[in-house]
Amino acid sequence: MELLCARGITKYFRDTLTLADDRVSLSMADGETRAVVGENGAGKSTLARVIAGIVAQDSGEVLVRGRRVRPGSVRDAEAAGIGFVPQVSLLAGSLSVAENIVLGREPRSIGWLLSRRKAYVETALLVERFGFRLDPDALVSSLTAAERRQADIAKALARGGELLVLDEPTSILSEAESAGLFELLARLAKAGKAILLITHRLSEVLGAADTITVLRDGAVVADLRAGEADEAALSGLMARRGSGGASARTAVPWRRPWGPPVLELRGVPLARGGRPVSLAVHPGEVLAVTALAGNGLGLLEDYASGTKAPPAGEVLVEGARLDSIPRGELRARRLGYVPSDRERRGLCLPASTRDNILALRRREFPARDWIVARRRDEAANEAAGRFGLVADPRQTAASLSGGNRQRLLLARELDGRHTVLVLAEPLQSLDRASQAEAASLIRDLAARGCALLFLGSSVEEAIGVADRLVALYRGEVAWEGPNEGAPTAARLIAAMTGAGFPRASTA
Amino acid sequence: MSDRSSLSLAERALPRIAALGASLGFAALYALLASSDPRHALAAFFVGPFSSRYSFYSLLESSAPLLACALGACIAFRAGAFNLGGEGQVSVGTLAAALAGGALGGMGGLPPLAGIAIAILAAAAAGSALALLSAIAWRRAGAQVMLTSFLFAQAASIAVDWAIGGPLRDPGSNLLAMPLIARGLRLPLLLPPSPLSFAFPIALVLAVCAVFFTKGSRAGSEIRLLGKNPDFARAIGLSPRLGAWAMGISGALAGVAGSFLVLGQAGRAIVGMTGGVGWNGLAVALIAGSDGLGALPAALFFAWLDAGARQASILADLSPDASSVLKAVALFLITAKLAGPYRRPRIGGGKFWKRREAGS
Repeated sequence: MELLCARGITKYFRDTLTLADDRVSLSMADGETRAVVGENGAGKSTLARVIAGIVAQDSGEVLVRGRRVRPGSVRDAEAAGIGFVPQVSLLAGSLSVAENIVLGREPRSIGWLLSRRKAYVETALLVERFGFRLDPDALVSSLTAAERRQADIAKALARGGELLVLDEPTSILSEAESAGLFELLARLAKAGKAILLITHRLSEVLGAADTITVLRDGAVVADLRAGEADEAALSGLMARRGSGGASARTAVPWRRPWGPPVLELRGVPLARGGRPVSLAVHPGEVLAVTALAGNGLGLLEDYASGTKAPPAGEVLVEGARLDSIPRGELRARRLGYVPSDRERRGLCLPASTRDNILALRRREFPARDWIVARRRDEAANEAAGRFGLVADPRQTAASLSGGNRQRLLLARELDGRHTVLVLAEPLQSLDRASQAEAASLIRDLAARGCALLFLGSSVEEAIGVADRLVALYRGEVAWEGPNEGAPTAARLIAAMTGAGFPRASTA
Repeated sequence: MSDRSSLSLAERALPRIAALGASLGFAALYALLASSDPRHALAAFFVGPFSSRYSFYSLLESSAPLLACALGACIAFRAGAFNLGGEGQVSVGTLAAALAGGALGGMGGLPPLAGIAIAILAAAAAGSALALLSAIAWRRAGAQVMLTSFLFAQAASIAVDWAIGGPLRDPGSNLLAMPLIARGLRLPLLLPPSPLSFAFPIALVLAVCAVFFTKGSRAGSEIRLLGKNPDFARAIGLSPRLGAWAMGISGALAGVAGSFLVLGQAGRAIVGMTGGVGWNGLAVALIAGSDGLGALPAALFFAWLDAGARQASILADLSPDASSVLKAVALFLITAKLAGPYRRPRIGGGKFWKRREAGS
């Protein structure tokens, strides 16, 4: 009997209005290593979390050796033998590896005391059996990223034991560390463990997996044996129809920019030991930088927006060093910034929508409450109305849905008072119609001579707005070129997923 | 935390008033249990402070330093800076006011009002400087304001008490105190012989200024945004110095409270004269929900509890410490259950009312 059978898994997220998985099925046998690949938002992680019992599916079922696992029950999934390794390690830094591994089901001695000896022995046996390179007594906070990942896996094995589900296990690891991880996974597979590997790095997949499931927009588009696939075919399968097809409608012809660059990054490193990145954005163009999670896009956002100072190199806005411009002036008139972390950085949730929308126009509307309340309300309504956001100016930003929060953020930043804009995931949480509206607004700003840096993980969105595109892989520029529509999309996806880079298993 | 502007004044005030009422009920219960003559004790506690003009005016006078401290705490809280050093900032304020008063008393020819103003400003500067130390430690070394403000203030209190009781002590006095300040440099009494001085109207003016500052000025609204979400404040380009400004103002108000103590009835700096007014100011600010408008009634309430407990201990057999217990109860009821200003945002409303929600 097959080990795992997931049938018709469907999951809809109401607050973001996304159908993450749409009737996804897959099955696995003992000792099988299966990779699930797809673009960001294809539904990979949700599928993994459904199988691990972290998220309850709306319909469909997960069977382990023919027995149904209760939806949304981690306990039930673990009892059935499923161990989950989350993308971000959730170990307690102040405890030892062994204590973390037994956390929640501690071996006891004399009634209730934690038996450190038994925990140590259990962990040491596990380490010995599968060849982990781990000291059970080491404090988790003292581990390197790679050792932490090993500890995560050891913990998942100790809890689940038969099927390991790993969500983007290499996103924070270097090339060499990833290779070590895949050696470990190969040993586990040889010992009869089944491994479900969620990843978007194609180079890793081909070396490590026996079978591959390709997801696109929440549905399975291919179920292949590793031998039948190559990187080009996989990136073609992963690409959404919107970008993969001949979509002259969304492709934007490249035009010559208007003059010297007004936003420049010079020699800024985005990864330990990686080649530094240099980018220049000219007036009148949209430069899109795409990368998958964990490849340096977040750091690029921090540096380009002036949130953090880069450790080396420099960031120039209109020829002046970013950190030499007073921040208030910079943000009020020169640099527009849509952060990807909308809830923490983009909006002040406990404040009113009015205070949020006028946050950059504090000089015009200096006071709150009594003094110019009506004028402020009118200004806020007008700004919000341009984006089809209907909200009471006095209601809190926290009371808005994700899509309306994004509209609020865009209404503040895309109001045309900045010459340079850094837009990180500006289209997130928006429905299709609003995305198109926001994209056309971005194009309008470029036509008026703004310089826009678009940062995002979606190739489709980038192709829809950009003049030029850059792909990052492991914090380095992997590809750069003008926007030529569908062929560019395929090249971008290949570059973002590390095609052409040495395969992890052979490194 | 809900946006204040989305709740009416009544919606904000009612649960607090209910909690204060409940704590008064507890006071009655306490008196019943702790006193052998509860009827007498209750009357002394509740009515005593209002039984004569003298005791009512001294209640008002004692609320002035409390109000100043509370306003300072409100401003720091709004900026997200937990200034726990109020007590020490008051303490350095008393020393600075006494030193300035003593020095100015030696010089002739200064108009008395100018002398008083200088003494108050000196106290404000001293309190402000102490609070700014924490802001600097935070900016330079990332030290938590909550910890450093407390530690600096503890150290400062000890140093001030040593100075007053040691090198600066008035040798001619039995008290551990500095020499009396010339009468012309003390705050004039409004209604002698009661102790009510100009401190109370000054505190009222400060309260009005604080409300205008927090609700009607750009800096005030920026401080609010900073307190609600520092990451956001940084992203929209607010100056990182804003938090230090809030701390400085907060410390200055505590310092002014110190000058009220020295330049009022006492007329001199005495060891231990702050008597917890800094901590009580924190409690008042919490009860007021960090709102300058609410600080006045809350400060009067605390002053009433103090005065009531004092009266009850003189006229009946209730311990003067009763007021501490009752203040703690009031604080607990308000912050824990009813309307804590630092509750995490929860969409869908609190227990007592349903917030307006977006149809999205």
